[in-house]
Amino acid sequence: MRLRLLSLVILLLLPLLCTAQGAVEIRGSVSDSKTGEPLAGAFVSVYKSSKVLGYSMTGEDGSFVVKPAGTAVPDTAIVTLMGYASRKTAITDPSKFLTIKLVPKKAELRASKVTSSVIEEKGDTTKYSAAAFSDGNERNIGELLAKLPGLSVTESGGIRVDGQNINKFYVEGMDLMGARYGTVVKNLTPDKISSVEVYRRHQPVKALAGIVVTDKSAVNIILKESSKGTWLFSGGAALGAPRFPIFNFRAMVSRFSSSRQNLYLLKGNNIGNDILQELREQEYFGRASGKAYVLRESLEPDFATPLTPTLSPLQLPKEFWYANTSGVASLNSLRKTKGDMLVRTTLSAAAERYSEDTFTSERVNFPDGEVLTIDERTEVLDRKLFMTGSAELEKNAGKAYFSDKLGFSGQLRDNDLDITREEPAGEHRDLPSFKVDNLLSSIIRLSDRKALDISSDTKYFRNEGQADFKFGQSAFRQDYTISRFDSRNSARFDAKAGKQVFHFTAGINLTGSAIESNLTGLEPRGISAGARTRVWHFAPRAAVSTDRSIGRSKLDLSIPASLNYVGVSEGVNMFYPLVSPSISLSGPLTGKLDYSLIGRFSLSRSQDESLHRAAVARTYRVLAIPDSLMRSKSLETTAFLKYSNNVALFYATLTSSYDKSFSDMTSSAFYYDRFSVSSFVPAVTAHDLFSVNGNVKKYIGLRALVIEARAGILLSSYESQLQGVMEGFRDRSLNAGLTLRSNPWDWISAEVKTDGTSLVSSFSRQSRTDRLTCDMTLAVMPSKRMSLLTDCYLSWYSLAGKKTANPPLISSEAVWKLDKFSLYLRCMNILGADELKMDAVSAFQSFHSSRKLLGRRVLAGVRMSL
Amino acid sequence: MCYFNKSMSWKSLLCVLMFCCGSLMAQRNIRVSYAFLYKRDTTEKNFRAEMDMRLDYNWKESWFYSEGRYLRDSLCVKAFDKSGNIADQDAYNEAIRHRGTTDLWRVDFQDASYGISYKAIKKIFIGEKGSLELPLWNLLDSDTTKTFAGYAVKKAEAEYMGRKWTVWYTEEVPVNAGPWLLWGCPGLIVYAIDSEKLFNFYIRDIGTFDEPRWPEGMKAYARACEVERLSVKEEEKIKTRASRNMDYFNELTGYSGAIGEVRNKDGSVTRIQYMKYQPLIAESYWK
Repeated sequence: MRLRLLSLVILLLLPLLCTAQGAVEIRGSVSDSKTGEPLAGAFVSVYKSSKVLGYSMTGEDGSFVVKPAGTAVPDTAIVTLMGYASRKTAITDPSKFLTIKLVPKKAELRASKVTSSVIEEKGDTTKYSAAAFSDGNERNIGELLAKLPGLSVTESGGIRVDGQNINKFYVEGMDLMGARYGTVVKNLTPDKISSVEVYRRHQPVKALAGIVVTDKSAVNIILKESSKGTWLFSGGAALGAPRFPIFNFRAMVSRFSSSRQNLYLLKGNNIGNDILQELREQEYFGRASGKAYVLRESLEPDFATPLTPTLSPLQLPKEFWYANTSGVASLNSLRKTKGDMLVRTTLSAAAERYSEDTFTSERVNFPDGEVLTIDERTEVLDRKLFMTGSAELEKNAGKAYFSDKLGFSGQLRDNDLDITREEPAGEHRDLPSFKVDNLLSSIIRLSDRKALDISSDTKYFRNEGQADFKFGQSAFRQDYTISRFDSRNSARFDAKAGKQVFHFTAGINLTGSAIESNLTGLEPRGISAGARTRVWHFAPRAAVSTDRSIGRSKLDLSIPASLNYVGVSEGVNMFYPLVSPSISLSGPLTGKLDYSLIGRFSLSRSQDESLHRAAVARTYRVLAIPDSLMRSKSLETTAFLKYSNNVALFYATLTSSYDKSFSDMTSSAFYYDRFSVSSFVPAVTAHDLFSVNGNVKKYIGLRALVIEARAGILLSSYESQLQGVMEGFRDRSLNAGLTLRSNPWDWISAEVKTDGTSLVSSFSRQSRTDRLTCDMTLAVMPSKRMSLLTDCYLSWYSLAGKKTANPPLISSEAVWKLDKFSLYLRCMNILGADELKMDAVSAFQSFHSSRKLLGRRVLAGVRMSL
Repeated sequence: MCYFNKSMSWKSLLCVLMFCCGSLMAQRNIRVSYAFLYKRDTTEKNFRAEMDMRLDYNWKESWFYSEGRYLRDSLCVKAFDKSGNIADQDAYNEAIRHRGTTDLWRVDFQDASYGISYKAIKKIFIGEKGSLELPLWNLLDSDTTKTFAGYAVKKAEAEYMGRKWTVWYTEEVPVNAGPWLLWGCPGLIVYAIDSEKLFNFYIRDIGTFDEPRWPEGMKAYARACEVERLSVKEEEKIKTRASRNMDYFNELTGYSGAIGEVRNKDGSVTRIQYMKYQPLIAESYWK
């Protein structure tokens, strides 16, 4: 009886017990749909009519148990996990074990376009949102970077921040290309990037962080999430006419991740794109002195010799005049090994055929009132084949830095000139060159306040030049060969004491040069026509520099000095000191206003090659005699003010500089017979140079209207000998410009850039030339898929009151954007203008020239970026 | 040895590759920037703003903190020596440029717990082992195509820690985290506002990170500070009281500076004793 009663009670209470137990537990497992592997860390939440009841996370075996709150029975489970598409599963039977499979899906972590501030400043880092400055018509990141406040981009892809070259260019924090980063700047498409970071006062060497402060900046390109670590392709191809085929093609495959980067590029054209510029080494971290002056047509400064031909670049878009057939191939790789060692290898090759057709009327004004006029038409054909490569190991750790870069460059170049004048003339040059170099740097952080930097920069190059000249019935030949070994070695000790940092440098430079020249077929009167010179240069050097914080400012003082012993074969050996102390004070005056004051004195000499005691025929009518180690003293002063307001988006700079220099040799030009001899005579002369330049830039609504105004004045005076008479020359140059850029709505974008220059050059008489140029671009996007672009270039010149107006140079392009690619049709020089007339003055010469332009051409092609 | 035989088709290889990619993605750490707007009282017209809050999420835990404050604390380690004197003027100059809230929120999703740290000058109160409550989100408007900051978003509402929250989350970023202590939606929370419109968070940027800042960053956060560990409830009570009562704040920190003093135009000093303050976790939640 008792047993029956107990059974009845249990039966009656059973439903109640079940209810009190809190409904059910949802059990299941989560795995990868492709591999079947269990997924740990997935977030599982269960819902009843869209209301969450409970959650759980999967364990290492992918299983989960969710205990819903309350008594409601869940009807849905949602599983989320980074890297997979969210999965919603219906729960039909709560007691049933759920088997959920997630499909891999890459999440795109894109930056906010709506609410993100476009410029973020954090300490020395400024971050710019790329989309905010883009109107969608930029073809490479260089065009986009040029629109950011404070940044400018050179034709070869070099980046400047506040007018100063950057010391590092990173993509995703890695420096793939080293000093040849122009290749990335000119070829990476803006649709791949999310933002741009500018690091001011960037110290690339971790071991020097906190000890050595730099005044250089670096740029880091942040890619969109979808572009990180994956292979990217961008490229295009186009064909056109007349003179079929004109072509333009480009294919770039790249990958940028934080441990491995690659860039493979192949491109070519004959439509006026100067793509060889991209291979130029920019002034960069590693070689402190950088490239002082590089001829526009020279890819490697060490390949320049007195026989290097001078081409005549024009200051207008190259598609109107740059008659080329060019090709570039570049293979670049950067890999981070397990030991955080970076291995960087690059190999690039370029070939170009370039031509010019110019008529020049040169007028030489002699002090006695005589005038010499030389009218000639020059047709140039320049061909070059250039190759460069390097392999580099770099380890940048907190305690030590090491890098070793071994590189080579080679060039084959030949140049032909056909000159038409009273007597026909011609030139043919063969200029093969070769160079190997090694740059070794080792830095050890001894403590938080001390570091030791040992570096060695060694190079060997050989330039062989041979030029054949014809003038009338006569012909002569100039040979010029230079081989040079150059090794610069130094050790620097950096020590920080409180607010002061000291740098002690000791080093030695060893140089050996062998120069051989021979002029055959011509015997200039009283001038040596051939010589063989060997020069040994031994220079121990030392430098002491210190920088000290004064409030928020920094005072730098540097005294580098060297003792130089120069041994010359068959000549007098020399011993001389060089010194170039400098002082600078820089820092912020307020949060938005920065300043810098720099003063520098230098006692310097010209290059060792100037000791070669023989005349070199540089052209068919110019003989040049070197300056024999000219000695110069100069004093340079610069003041710089910069105002940056990232809230009001207003930026301004003002730079003023004054340089005064004295040389113990003076340049001399002597015209006789059919030659002019350019040489140097012993006479102490002074050279003054004063300049002031200002620039203001205001963004109104970032893209709605950008106004940039610039102006400057340059005054210079110097002395030079002309026809044996010492003359004082004075130049006064005024320049002003205004750029207006507007992208008020998505469908229209316009830019007008106007620049005017007035140059007055005077000695016994005065010459004046004025130039006004206007470059206009209009882009209309009638629909999201279509855009119409038009460029128009106008120029006016004036020489001695005589005005020359050039016809408008107009190009137009229609682009039709499809999902994966875009098609375009471009018509260049629509009006078919065939020549550009220009005027220029320089010291005692004035020039009126006319340059043949590339005619009307039509190009149709495709571009894509994947 | 040949690892790839004929039986291993290209599909198998693809699967392996996808698995590798998938595994990498699954382990990804994300850092989300949020703006944090708040009012000290419902009577205030305008929001005050902390524009550079960060959420560091690594699927096991999340940290929500001020980027400015993090930089300041990190630089202070370098700027001061052990005796508190300035050792590196540059670091000091840089450090004082950065500002931000000293509050720090941490969620441990595996332990289902959370903690809040409150720093009052040289004293840190670390509220620990709060039981992480699941906001019982009511998912709304599931079929809408609304976007926020470029992401397709969906709306959800829940009562959470004493306040009624409305959030917008995106399934495009499948993580269950969000700003402050908000979490549990089937996607990243990109916008959140409470019903009284006292607090508002919205996303500004999103990216990944390799080097975790926390918990290592606690060393810089707690540098030269006295640390007291207590329950979250106690920590919130102290913070709320100290944020409202200047005398209590001074007593708590032992600080005798000019905090709470306002100099008038005539040179006299007015002392402010009481201030407005609303904690993110409503006071009613603790009752």
